[in-house]
Amino acid sequence: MIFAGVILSGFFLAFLVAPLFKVLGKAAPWVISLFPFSQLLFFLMLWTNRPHATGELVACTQWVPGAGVDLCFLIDGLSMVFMVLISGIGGCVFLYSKDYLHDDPHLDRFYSYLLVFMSAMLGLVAADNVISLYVFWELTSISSFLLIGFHPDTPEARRAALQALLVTNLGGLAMLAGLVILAEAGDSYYFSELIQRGDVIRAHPHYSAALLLLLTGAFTKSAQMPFHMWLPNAMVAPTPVSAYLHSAAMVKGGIYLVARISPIFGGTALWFGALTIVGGITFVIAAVLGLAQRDVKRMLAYSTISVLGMLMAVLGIGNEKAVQGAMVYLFAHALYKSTLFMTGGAIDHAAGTRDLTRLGGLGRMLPLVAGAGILAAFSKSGVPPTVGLIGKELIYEAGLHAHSAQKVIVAGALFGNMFLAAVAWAAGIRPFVGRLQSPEAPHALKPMMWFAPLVLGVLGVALGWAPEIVEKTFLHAAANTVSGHPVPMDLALWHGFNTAVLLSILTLAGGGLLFWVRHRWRRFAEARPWVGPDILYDRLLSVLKGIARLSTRLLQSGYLRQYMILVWAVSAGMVSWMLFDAAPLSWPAFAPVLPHLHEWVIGSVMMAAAVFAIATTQRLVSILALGVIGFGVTLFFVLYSAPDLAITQFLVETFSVILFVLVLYRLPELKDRSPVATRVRDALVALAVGAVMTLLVLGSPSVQYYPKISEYFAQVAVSAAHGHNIVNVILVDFRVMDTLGEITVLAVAAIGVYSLWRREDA
Amino acid sequence: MQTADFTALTPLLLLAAAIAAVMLQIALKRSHILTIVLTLAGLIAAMLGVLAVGDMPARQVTPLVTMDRLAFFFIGLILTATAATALLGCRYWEHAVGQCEEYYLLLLVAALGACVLAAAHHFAAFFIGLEILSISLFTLMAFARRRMASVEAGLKYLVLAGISSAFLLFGIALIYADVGSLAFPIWTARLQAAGETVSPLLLIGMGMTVIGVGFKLALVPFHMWTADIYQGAPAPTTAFVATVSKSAMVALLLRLFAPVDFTAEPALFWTLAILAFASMIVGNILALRQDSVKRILAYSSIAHMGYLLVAFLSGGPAAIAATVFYITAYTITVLGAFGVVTVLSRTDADADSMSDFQGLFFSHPWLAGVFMAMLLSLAGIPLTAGFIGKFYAITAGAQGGIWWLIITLVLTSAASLFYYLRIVVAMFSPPLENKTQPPAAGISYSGGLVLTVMTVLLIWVGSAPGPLIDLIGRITQ
Repeated sequence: MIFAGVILSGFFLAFLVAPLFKVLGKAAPWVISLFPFSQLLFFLMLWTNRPHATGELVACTQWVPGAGVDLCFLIDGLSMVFMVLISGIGGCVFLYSKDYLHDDPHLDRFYSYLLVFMSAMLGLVAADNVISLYVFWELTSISSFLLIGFHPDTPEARRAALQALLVTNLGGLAMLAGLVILAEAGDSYYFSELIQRGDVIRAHPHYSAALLLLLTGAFTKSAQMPFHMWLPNAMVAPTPVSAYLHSAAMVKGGIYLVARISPIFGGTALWFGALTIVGGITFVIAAVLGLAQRDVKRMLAYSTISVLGMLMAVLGIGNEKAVQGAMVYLFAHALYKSTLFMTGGAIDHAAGTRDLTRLGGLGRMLPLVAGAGILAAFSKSGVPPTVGLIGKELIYEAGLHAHSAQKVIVAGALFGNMFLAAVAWAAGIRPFVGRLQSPEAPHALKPMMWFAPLVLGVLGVALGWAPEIVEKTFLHAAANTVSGHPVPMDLALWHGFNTAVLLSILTLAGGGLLFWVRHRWRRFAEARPWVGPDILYDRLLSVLKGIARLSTRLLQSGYLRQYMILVWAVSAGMVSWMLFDAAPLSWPAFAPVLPHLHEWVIGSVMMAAAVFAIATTQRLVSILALGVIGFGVTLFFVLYSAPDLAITQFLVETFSVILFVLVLYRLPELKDRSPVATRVRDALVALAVGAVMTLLVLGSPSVQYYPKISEYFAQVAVSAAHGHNIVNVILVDFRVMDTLGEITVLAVAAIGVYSLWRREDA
Repeated sequence: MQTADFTALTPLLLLAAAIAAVMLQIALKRSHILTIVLTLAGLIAAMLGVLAVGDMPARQVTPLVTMDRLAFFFIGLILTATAATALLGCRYWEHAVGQCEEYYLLLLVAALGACVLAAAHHFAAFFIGLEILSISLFTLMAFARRRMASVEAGLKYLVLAGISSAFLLFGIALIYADVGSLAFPIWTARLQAAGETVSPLLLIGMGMTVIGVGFKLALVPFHMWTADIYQGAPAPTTAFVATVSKSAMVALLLRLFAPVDFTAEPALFWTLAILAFASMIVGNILALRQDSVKRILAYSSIAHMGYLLVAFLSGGPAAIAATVFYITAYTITVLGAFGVVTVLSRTDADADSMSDFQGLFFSHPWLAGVFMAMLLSLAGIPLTAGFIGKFYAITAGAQGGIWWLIITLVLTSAASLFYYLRIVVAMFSPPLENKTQPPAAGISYSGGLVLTVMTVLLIWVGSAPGPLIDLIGRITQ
């Protein structure tokens, strides 16, 4: 319960931010920044004092009864890695934002959104229930939407925010469907139970569908190709958002999901294939594209996409070394990437541009920022002694331990890593060294803008010296969770000279070479217009809009007559389908009885009137012709001894003709007729409706009817109501309430008519 | 009729008494505020009546209506939505040209018709309730007589509702010809006895009934009235059409088809499934290009009724609970959304185009927040009532194994986010220059009350749906 409170308290704090700013003023950001750090402390204490060595379940409250959705939190090594990153880096970003956005009037709103995001992300990685996982997942998307569009005055920001939310929401819904299938297949809505049932689920007929849906969700969230375009565009967000959501936390949501379901789904050919192919392609292409960017934030965004692809691929390999490598690299990446974003933001602040071709030598002005950036770049490129190097070597080892043909992964990893190393130096070192280059004279920065990145940068190196601290605390436990069984783990910088070390040296050498030629590569890439998914996204949207426009024109013309045509046509179609296919009528045998002469005459007059009604160009004549048809029907009623029906029909016909004439009197003359095509269409629909109705009427005599109610009245009129005039008995006895109602209605109508009349006078 | 019958009818009787009272009051002395007070008093009295007798065992009153828990639940929902509409109308009609007291009278009459529909046990009650509702709606739609769009809306609805009623009557006649009774249970019993060899007249009658129901629910292809009427009708009327008329029809849908075993009636299943499928696709596609917020909400309502049908078609007890939950969540959301539209409307025209909402976040941040919450609920984003509703629909569908409908639901809701977010983005965009701002005087107390209640309900149902689900579980068992 306490645990749930700690995770969810951020949501409540988000509402208190504005009052806090009012009360505390400038001190408010300090107080708010304490919050994530205290959460971090709480998680670490909770974890180190846990009663069992394995995962444990904390806090369950009922949420949606009947559908098996509770708020349950599962804390194990995997959630712990993420929670430490989310709260720890969150705290640094909170501090950094204080100075980065110090003159923004909406800083309180910014902190509110950040708090909502942080709590949602914590809930996401700690959720035990699959549906609550989805809920938190969507909340992170929403808060990301709000944060990307934090300065909504530019169309780019609005477009990027919308795009990010659309793409991740599409994936989120796919994931929801996958989660529901998974829960139905495993007969549980809890990861803690589903993990035990991996065999059942892997043998389930819906296994592939569930896995592919879940992976779609993970790929959109973690910006895997071809869904990656939202992430570079999201760089319009304020830099603290990029450092936090779009490198360290939210985009890792997909990695978290894949790691979480790895013991359930892992180890199959589909798992391996889907993850290594998508992840591998993303890894290589994004790394290559990243080096061609000018904007430091876009460059870092591409390198984030690339690393996320690598992590996906490594989780796809899934052997011991791979899982360890994924966990270590994930941790290292979060540290160095948010550092690099923060230094990038600091450069932007100080020098007024993020264009790397116009920056250099800033280290003399911003020595501490430079220190942070250089440390992070070392970790990113895998220079000893950093935690990044440990992760990278583990990943090489994972490739080397893979099955024979899969060793090709190593070549891909080497190729991509060379580009990433070059990116690291271009983004983290190059702006600080060499000749001074800056569009504006660089000015000094507020303290938190160098302090926050420096803390994370130093951590990246310190943990490289002593990786056992994080290994013992949670990384080992995380690797156990992802593998599904205990694995040996021994992190160290130096394991003696082996192939992995050789590959690391090769990476650095290749990286250096690429760094040298990076401008040439950039100019080459810039000269070519790329058809990327970003353009496809726009095209897709415009195609959708085109379909919408077309269907609006077809279905929603605004003309009542067209609506009616559609209703008639569909109804006739439906009835004829039922008539002939679903439940065919048994047609009665028609005895060939020829009509009498007078019937012929009436029938011919009616048909002639029908043709005339259509052919005439005068409205009045048309209405009169319709009236002739109605009177013909009346005559038929008379001929077949139904005088009551005949009288009703006669009155209705007369009345409607009079009404029509009154209305037509005010209408203009009918001059222009519709084009031939329209008339042909109308005629077809009319004929179809008429034909179906005719068939329906012809088929009806085959049905046996029930005894007439009139016989019942005739029987009981005397005995029950003591009346001999059956009609009178019906009106005043059997249906006395109806009669009363009718009289009331008439009276009310009369009053209404009278009051309208009076108002017209007044 | 016995005393217990009258007791069971308490809410309907109180509502009818309120109608008479309001009518007399208007005849004696015209006063807008007095009419509103009387209307609300009548609605509250009827709601108290629901609370008082709602837990009674189900009772059939006359052959026409059954007062059971389902009926009471829907009557409560209808009364609440009517009260919200009346409150929204306060400020809306205050400055309108001409007299407006009859608006509330018509609202009450329409609500009575909807209540009869919700309790209908007989095709006659179905038709009477439907016509009471529809005829009041024609006038409610055309009530802003000086606006051409409003009159056009009323006229279009009149003609199209006339056609659908004609089909419905024909269908009822065919069903009667086959079954020999107009009571629902006899009809469903007959259907079940027939199994797959259902007689053609019964099937065609059923099909024509579906046309009638589909028209009121605005299922594709009987949806054409929706956008024109949502846009043309005065905003409070649109809120009423979107909530009261739909929830009454959903209640009727449950009465008509819930006892039917869809696996034994493939023709009926496929008819409804195709309508659901088409509604989800067409509703969402048509909404994509709209610049009118009221039209967007109209098309989205088409899609939402498709989602609701997915829940309903899944079969089994979960299906009914999911359907009832969905329409409840939808009612809350739509009342909130149209509440915002109404509050922002001016006397001469409703707030409708995107530009009316542009920059709303900067001029009325709370209003923008409420509208955003409502739109996110329509999109099915977590922590709103709409999400739980959609989740229930998906779960029910998964249990029923109608995967193709679920996939359609998921994909189309993903697309729907696009047009909901367009409104959100517009609200967050900088305000237009030289634009006439919505009423600067601020929001009326009555409108504010409706919006507050709906927002609280939205978040409450979305974050702690337990109580509502328990309640629905009790009424649907």
